[in-house]
Amino acid sequence: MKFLSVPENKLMLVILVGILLASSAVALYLHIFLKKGKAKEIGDLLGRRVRTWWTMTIVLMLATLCGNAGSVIVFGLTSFFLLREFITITPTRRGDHHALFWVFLVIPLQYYLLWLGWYGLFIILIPVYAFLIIPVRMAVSGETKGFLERAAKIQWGLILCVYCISHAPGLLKLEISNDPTAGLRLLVYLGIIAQTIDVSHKIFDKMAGRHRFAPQLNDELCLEGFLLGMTTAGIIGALLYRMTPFAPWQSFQLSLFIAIVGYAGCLCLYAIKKDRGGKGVVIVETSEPMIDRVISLCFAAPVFFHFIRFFCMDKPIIMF
Amino acid sequence: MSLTDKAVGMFMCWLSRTVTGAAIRWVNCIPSSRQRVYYANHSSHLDIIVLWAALPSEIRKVTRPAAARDYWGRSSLKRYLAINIFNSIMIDRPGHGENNSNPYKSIEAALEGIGDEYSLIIFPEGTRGEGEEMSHFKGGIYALAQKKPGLEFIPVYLENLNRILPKGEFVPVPLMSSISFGAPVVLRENEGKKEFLERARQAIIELKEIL
Repeated sequence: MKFLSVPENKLMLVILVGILLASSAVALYLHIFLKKGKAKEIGDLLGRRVRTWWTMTIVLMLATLCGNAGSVIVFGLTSFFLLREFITITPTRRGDHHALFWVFLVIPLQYYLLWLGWYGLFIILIPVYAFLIIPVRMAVSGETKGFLERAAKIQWGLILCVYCISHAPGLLKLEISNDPTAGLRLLVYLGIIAQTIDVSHKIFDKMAGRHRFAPQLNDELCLEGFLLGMTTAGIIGALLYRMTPFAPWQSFQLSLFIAIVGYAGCLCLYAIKKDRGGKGVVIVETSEPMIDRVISLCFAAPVFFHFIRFFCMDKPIIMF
Repeated sequence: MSLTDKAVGMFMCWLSRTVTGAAIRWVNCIPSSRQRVYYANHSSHLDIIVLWAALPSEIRKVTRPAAARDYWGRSSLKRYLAINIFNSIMIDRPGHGENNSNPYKSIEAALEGIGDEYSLIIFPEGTRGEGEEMSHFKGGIYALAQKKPGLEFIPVYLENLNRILPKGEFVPVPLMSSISFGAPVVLRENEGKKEFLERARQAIIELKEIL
């Protein structure tokens, strides 16, 4: 198979399976032997995540086997479920109904553009056209109460759950060092670093947290979690350098960069949750909401995408 | 029930569960196929379908929704769904069709339709509300409770359906919803109409609040 003829791809599979097995073992150990206090919380968190990671990996690999269309469909569905969840927990009003209907139609459009590889329109469809059309549809419906706030909520949902996420499969479209599978390695690399910062800062907050820096957002957020999380992400990034076109030192910096952006995403989500005060999240409360698990990826994907596009793409970027 | 009807029924269940991503929960209530009345808040045309699809299949088989003839009898597709798929009891709402004066005529039709084995799905608000606040219940469920002493009334709270398909809209937006079944309400001895209706209504409001 062509895919396995590249040694980096074999390495990537080994690393992925290694990480999955190792984290499963740790989660299982915590689940069986430590059933009290913080260790239990960490075990629960890790256990949930490990299940998500297995699903993510298997789905992504199956999708990649199905080629271009497979990954487009998988990420399109992910966007759909995310957006559905986001709009569900965000209060909208009666007058938003038609706008919401159009919002869901944006998903297939955005992913169709991705499938075509029409970069120019892909990059502006949501921030320009959807951004302008949604408030117009809301204005036409005639309900003016909280107009700006309602429009902003819907647009945020669209940017976060569709636009940002769609940049992750966008990596697969980039042509890097004449290797069509380089994009997949970068996507996996991005996923690993984003999940690392997401989980590690929570775990270190629980284990070593002393200095709270944002009690208004979340009681558990500590400087130690941030710093140790960053360090972990950086080290893992440096170790994974062969999945990128970079040297270990560069890969270290790049993963710090991803981690900072991902952490910023977590902060925003804490703010949203605090504002909602647990109200209206009934429906998704039973397990950890989907958005919790991918928020760092949402933030990091577009930034990482543009970084790679700017520095690594084979074709020079044409300015106007 | 023909094979096509069965297939359409299964498809409707699947569709309703995917579109509404429905989370179903039973709070202080054990699913049972004994004769019961499921009553719910009403804010969307989807209510009847979603509630019907949320019931376990063995209970669904012995449950008939009460459907307003002035809406469900309007086109042949609606009539097909209402009669062949949901096995519903067509009710003339007071003020519509032939029944323009006697509100108890619809209760008699419902009683006749459920006999001694079927359960009933009704929306005691009588018509769809805007979804923000439940309106007051019509007297129908009190009349039912009087006619069949000991009958269990199961409160059902349907959340978010008014956002998925609000009153007066035709296209649904695929959000998530939840359906909660609460503890049975039974008519007490010497309980007046007003108290019973208020207690039944409060049971749905409680479901909304504990969630």
